[in-house]
Amino acid sequence: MLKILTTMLDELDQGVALCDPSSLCVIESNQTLTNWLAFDSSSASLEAHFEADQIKRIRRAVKKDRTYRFSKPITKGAQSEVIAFNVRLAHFESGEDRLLLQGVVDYSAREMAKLETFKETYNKLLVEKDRAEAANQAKTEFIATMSHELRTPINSILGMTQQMAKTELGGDQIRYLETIKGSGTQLLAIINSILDFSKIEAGKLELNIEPTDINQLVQDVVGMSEFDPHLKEQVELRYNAPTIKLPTLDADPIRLKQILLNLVSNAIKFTQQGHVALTFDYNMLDVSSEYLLVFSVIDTGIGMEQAKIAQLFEPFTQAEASTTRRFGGTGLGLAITKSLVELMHGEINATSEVGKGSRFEVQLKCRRSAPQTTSDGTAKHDLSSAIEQVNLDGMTILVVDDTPLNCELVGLSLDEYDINLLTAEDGEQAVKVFQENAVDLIFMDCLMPNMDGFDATRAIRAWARAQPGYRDDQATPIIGLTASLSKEINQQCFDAGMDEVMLKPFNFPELVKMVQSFRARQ
Amino acid sequence: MADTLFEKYGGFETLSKVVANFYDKILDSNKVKHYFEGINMDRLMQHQTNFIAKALGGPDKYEGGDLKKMHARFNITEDHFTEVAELLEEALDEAGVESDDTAAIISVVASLKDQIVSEAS
Repeated sequence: MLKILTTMLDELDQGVALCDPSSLCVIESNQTLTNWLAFDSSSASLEAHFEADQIKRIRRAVKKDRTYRFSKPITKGAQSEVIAFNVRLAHFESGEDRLLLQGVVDYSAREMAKLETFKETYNKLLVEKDRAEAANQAKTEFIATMSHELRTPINSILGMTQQMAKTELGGDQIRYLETIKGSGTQLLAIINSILDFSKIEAGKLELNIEPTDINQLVQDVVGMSEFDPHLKEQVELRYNAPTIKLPTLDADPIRLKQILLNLVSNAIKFTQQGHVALTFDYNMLDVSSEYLLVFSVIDTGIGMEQAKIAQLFEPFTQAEASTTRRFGGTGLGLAITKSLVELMHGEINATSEVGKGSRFEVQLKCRRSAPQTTSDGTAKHDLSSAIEQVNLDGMTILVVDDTPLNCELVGLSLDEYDINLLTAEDGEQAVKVFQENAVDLIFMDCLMPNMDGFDATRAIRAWARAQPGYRDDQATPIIGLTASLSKEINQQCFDAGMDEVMLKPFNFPELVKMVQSFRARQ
Repeated sequence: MADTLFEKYGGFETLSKVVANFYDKILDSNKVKHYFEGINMDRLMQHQTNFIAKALGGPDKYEGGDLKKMHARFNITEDHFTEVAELLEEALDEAGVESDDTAAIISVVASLKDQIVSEAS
C-alpha cells in the first residue's frame, strides 16, 4: 500500500515535499519536485533553493500558520517553465507539524509569454505597415508632381509640332512630323493616365456632378471613337440606344465620357475585324427620380481567358505581358476606369471568350437633375456654333505667362490673323501693360512669380471699373490658363473675375474658336 | 522623483497585482475566508484597487459605498481586521514596497478600523 502511494506521488505532475518547519530541511519529496529543484539528498534545506526574501516569507507563513504563494522560473535543458509554489503548515494527527511545499507548472505564465511574443510581432508589423503606407503615399505624391512637371515640356513639343506643320515641308519631313506629333500625343495621354491614377490612389480625385444629357454624351463618345487611330477598316463601330430620350441626370460628364472612351478605345485596340458596339439602356428604379444606366461595350476581338479577367482591373497589368509590346498602353486604362466607376458608386464587369470577343458592362445609378431655372453664371460658351468665320484681324491680345514659350505658342496659333500680340511675364507686368494699351482679350496663366493670375485679374478688373465710361458688358474677356484642371482651380478663376478657363497644352483650333466666340460678342 | 506612492510603485498596473495577491492570501486564510463566500471577487478587487489608489495619492476612481455601512452586516472582529491588515502588509512587502512606505499605508488602513470593526474579539 505504501509503495503504491509512493509510486503515485512520484508520478504526479505536481511537485510535493514535506519539510521540517524550523530547519526547512526536506524530509520527503516526490520525483517531480526533486527534478525541478535538483535535490541531491533528502536532507537538503529549502534555503539552498529559494531566495532569502522567499525563505523569510516561508518562515513568516510557518509562524503565522498562513499560506505563502510565490513563483520561480526553472530551466531544464532548453525548456523553461515558471513554477507556482505554495507552502503552508500541515498538521498531522500525531500532533506533529510539517511544512507542505507544493508546486505546479504555471501555464498562464507560459501563455502570457506567448502573448508577449505575439504582441511584439504585432507591434513590429504595425510599424512596418505604417512605414509601407507612408512610402506608398510619398510615391503617389511623387508621381503626381512628376506628371505635372512633364506636361509643360510636352506642351511645347506639341505646340511647336503643330506650328511646324503649317510651314512648307518636303519629302519625308511630313512623315517625321506626324510621328513626332503621334508620339507626343501618346506620351501626353500616358502622362494624363498616370496623373489620373495617382490622384485616384491618393483619394484626391473629385467628381464634378452636373446636369448631363446622357444620350448626347454617348453619341459624342461614338463620334470621337470614329477617329480612333487604332480603328481598322474591317471593323464596324455600332451604336444602340433606347429610342426614348432620358431626362438630364446628375452625373460627371467628363469622367463618364472618360470611362466609355476608355472601354471603347480598348475594344477597338483589340479588335482586328467584325464590330465594336456601344449599347446603352436604362431602367427606372422604384424611386421615380432614380435611373439605373447600363452601358455595354461589346467587341469581336481577340478575347481572353477567364483567369485573366480578374487581373484586368489591377493597375499595371495587361492580359499578356506581350500585349504591351503589341498593342501599347500603360496598363492603367482599366484600373482608372474601374476606380472611376467605383467613385460613382457603380459596378463594372467583364466577360470574354478567347477568339470570340469581350463584353464590358458598366452599371450606374443616377438621379434626375433638379430643374434648372437660371444659368449659374459660369455657363460655358458654345464653341460649336457658327462663329468659325469671325475675323480676328486687328485684335490686341495680351498673353501673361512666366514661360515665354507659352506666350509664343498662343501667338503662333493665331498667326493666320493680323493680331497685335502683347506679352507679360507676371501679374504685375500684366496690370501695367493692360493700363497702357487698349487690350481686347487676355490669356492669363494662373500660377506665376511676384503676382499670380488671380490677383492680376482682380487688379485689372478693379482698375477698369474705376475708369470713366466703364461698362460691365464691355469688360475685357480674361481666359485663365492652367496645366491642371480641378474644381478648386476652376472656382478660383471665376471668383477672381475670369470669364473662361483653358487647359494647357493648348489645342490650337479650340483656342482660335474661343477667341472667335469672344470676338463675336464684342 | 515621484510625487505620490501611487506613482512611485508603478500606478494601477502594480497595484492590481498587489490586490490580486492580497485576495489570494485572504482566501487562503482560515480565519477570514468565510467572510468572502458568495462575494463577487472581481468587483471587490476593482473597488479595493481604486480605494488603495486613492489612499496612495493616485486618482480618485473609488465608487464603492460608505465603509461603515458596507461592513456592518459582517460583524467583523478586531482580530480579523488585524489579520486582513497583516495580509495586506505581506502583499505589499512581496510586491517590493519599502517598509517605510508599507508602514505609511498600513497606518492609513489602521485609521479605518473604527469604521470596519463592529464586534469586540
